[in-house]
Amino acid sequence: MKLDPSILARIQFAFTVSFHIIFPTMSIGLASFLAVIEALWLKTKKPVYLQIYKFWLSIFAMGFGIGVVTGIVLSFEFGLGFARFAQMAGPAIGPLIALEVLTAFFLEAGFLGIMLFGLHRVGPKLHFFATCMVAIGTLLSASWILSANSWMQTPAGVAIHDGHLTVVSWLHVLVNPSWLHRLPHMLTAAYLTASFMVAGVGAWYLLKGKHQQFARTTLGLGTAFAAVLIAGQVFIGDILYGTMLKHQPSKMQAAEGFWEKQSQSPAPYYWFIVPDQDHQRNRFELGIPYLGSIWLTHSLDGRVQGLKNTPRDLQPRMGMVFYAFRIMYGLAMVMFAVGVASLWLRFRGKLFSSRWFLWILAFMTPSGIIATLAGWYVAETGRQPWVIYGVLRTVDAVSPVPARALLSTLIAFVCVYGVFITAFLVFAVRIIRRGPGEAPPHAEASGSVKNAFRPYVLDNPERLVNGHITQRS
Amino acid sequence: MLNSNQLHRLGALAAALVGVLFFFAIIGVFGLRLAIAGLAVFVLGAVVVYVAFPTAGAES
Amino acid sequence: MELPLVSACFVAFALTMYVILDGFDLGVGILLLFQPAAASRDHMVDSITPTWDGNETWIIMAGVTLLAAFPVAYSVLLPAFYLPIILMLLALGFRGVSFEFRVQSKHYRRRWDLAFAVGSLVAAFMQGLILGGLMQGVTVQNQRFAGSVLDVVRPLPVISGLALAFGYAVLGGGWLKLKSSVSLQAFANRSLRVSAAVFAILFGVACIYAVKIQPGIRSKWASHGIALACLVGLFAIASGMLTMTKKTRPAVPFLLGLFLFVVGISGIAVIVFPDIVPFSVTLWEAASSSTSQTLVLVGAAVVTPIVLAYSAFAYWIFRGKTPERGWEA
Repeated sequence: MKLDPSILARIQFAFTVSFHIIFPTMSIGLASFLAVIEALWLKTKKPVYLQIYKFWLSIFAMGFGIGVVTGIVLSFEFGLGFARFAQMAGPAIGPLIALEVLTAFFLEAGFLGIMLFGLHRVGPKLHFFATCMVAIGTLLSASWILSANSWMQTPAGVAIHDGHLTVVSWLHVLVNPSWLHRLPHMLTAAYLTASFMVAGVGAWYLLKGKHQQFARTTLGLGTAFAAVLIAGQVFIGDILYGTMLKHQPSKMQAAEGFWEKQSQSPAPYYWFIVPDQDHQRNRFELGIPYLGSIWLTHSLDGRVQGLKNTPRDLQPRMGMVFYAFRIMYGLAMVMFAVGVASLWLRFRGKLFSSRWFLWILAFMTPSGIIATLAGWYVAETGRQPWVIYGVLRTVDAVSPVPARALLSTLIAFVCVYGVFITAFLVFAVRIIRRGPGEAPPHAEASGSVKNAFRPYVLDNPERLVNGHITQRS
Repeated sequence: MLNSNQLHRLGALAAALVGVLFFFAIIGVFGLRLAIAGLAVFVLGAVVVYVAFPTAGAES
Repeated sequence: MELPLVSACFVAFALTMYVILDGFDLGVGILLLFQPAAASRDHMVDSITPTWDGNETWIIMAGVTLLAAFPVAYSVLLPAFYLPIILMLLALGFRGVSFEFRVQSKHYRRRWDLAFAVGSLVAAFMQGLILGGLMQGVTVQNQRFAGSVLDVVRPLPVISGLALAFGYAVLGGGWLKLKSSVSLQAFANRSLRVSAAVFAILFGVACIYAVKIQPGIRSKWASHGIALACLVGLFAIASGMLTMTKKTRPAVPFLLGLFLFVVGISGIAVIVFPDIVPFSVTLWEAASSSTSQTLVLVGAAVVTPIVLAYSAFAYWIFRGKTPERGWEA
């Protein structure tokens, strides 16, 4: 069997980046959540907030660690799998990522130690500052890397002379046509992820009748944020759709499942297709009548532009883009419905007692992660066959590394990352099973494990003097 | 007339339809201005619900 | 001063920071293999837990600056060292996740300690392998890598890999002597003596072998013989002092270890300059346009002092001896 290096390089990058994105998405959301919780604790002194903080801190710490090490892989993988791309794009995205390292990675890393291990070493205000710095670090990190990726989607600000790129305007590289729409979309996705995670775990506890105060607080906060965030997210998403329609029409054409240059009128909204790229048609399609025209052209009879508007050798794979988009959008609609339901149940005073709703929330715990992943698949597979849209094709960007090397390292990544995610899930479930107040705050390290259990303040409320934890004598 | 249960069911249905309407508005089916307005009203409405109907037995 | 020169200095600075800071992290990890007592292992890991992430970040800084300022070098060197880099990344991955995973389970802690230690060892070895491979020379044609990914499986890179592992163990031992309680002092002293001696020997062997097989190095000895000889001398003295650690101030062995590395890096800098892909591609040939380099350097100039400040602050927060009962007790 002849192995194609470019396919293997793509699979390897796709695997490592898909795996990676799960964790920063959680980290960005949870870091801000933890900052909010710590602020609430400092302000109200209510012990439940410290309990929530310590509980989610352990899960955050594990996820952050995996995010860091899988992220380092990516910063080298540009060169490992796609050296030609690195050589060309380095001058443009290299400085952006360098600034990410300087302003964000070091910031997160510098204050993470205090955030995770300094609760007993520093005063509460400094500790809160550390939490905020980590949260800001994750935000900055997302901003820079989104700019770099957006530049790949909608390149600008550069001049190209026989394969060499020179940056002519940094402003246009950074603030390229899609960055300012994709950034809020990704950030909101991260915050939504955290909202559904905390709400889902809270719902689970309520269903089991355990940790009532903890559960009600996190469920209340989670759904509150989720309702507002999802409304914002679908708004931003629609704006972004328009931007991408303008700058990458092939992507949105592939996303909707239409082949003909002008679809039928009125156009349905497809939910299920069996695309046949070779014959440029769908072997089967199922959709809701009229909805395509309504949603995509904002009229009752508008025609949608199909993938045949793009030359065949420049078309992305419709199957991938379509289903990725449907998963993301479908989840968005469910999230919106859950948000509306949560508002209605609040109004009726039944937010914590409607078991059907609690079950839905529990199932929705990982919804943010799945939606974010799906969205990234739209972004990346929809950009194909380009790696820099309109400038460099993916097949021309591959490293001079033999296919066998690529295959063996791909297998290695799958195995190692498999261990990471299994361990993460096992330990996260264990933390959730044990419940708040009983789990080791997280790397409490040596000595008596029991010692570290008691939240410092809960055990010694007299130590909390004017909102300051007094030093142990 | 409708009893309390049926009234609540009707209320939930109405809420669902209003939700769908907001969704359509926010994704721009009725134009950009109504999308922005729809988003603003939705968020405002959510805030009103949080403030006017606090959840019992929880910290907030 | 010419831009590529300044950019190269920043890459060298970032690499040096990485080697020194993550050097002792990896070194402590390697020394875990030789520590049978579980509680002592916990203590050793505690000493590096609060600051490991920032330390590791310097390698990303170095790599990404290479991408931004010397994209030709980045695109040549990364495929050239494809296998060792990936193995290093996986090893660093195991090391990194083990920090959090090892405390989640009492039953599996020993196994995660092993993952931690082996990850540290493999990462250190791969880094040395890459260094040796650089000195050996990388096949370049038309600014593209033209060799085989298995070129690193040769004597010089392998010896360099072993040497670096022992070198990191020296840094690790020095850090333990500084930060650990009385119970681990004897262990730290032993580790220092043994690793310093082996490091010095392996380093010497690697240098001699490198001179033998790489004409580029021979010509550097010819032109900069005095400077290099001085550095060799300093290295020998410092390692000698390390093998004789018994009753010294706690910080001395660690500082000596840092000194060893600074000397070693200086030597490598003398040999490699003015190339960025040693003996094949010069700094100027590999550099990107001035707009890209300028942005990185301006950003670096402004932000690095701030980074160093709060990193130092973080170290200061966790100053003194590592508490025996861990950070939460």
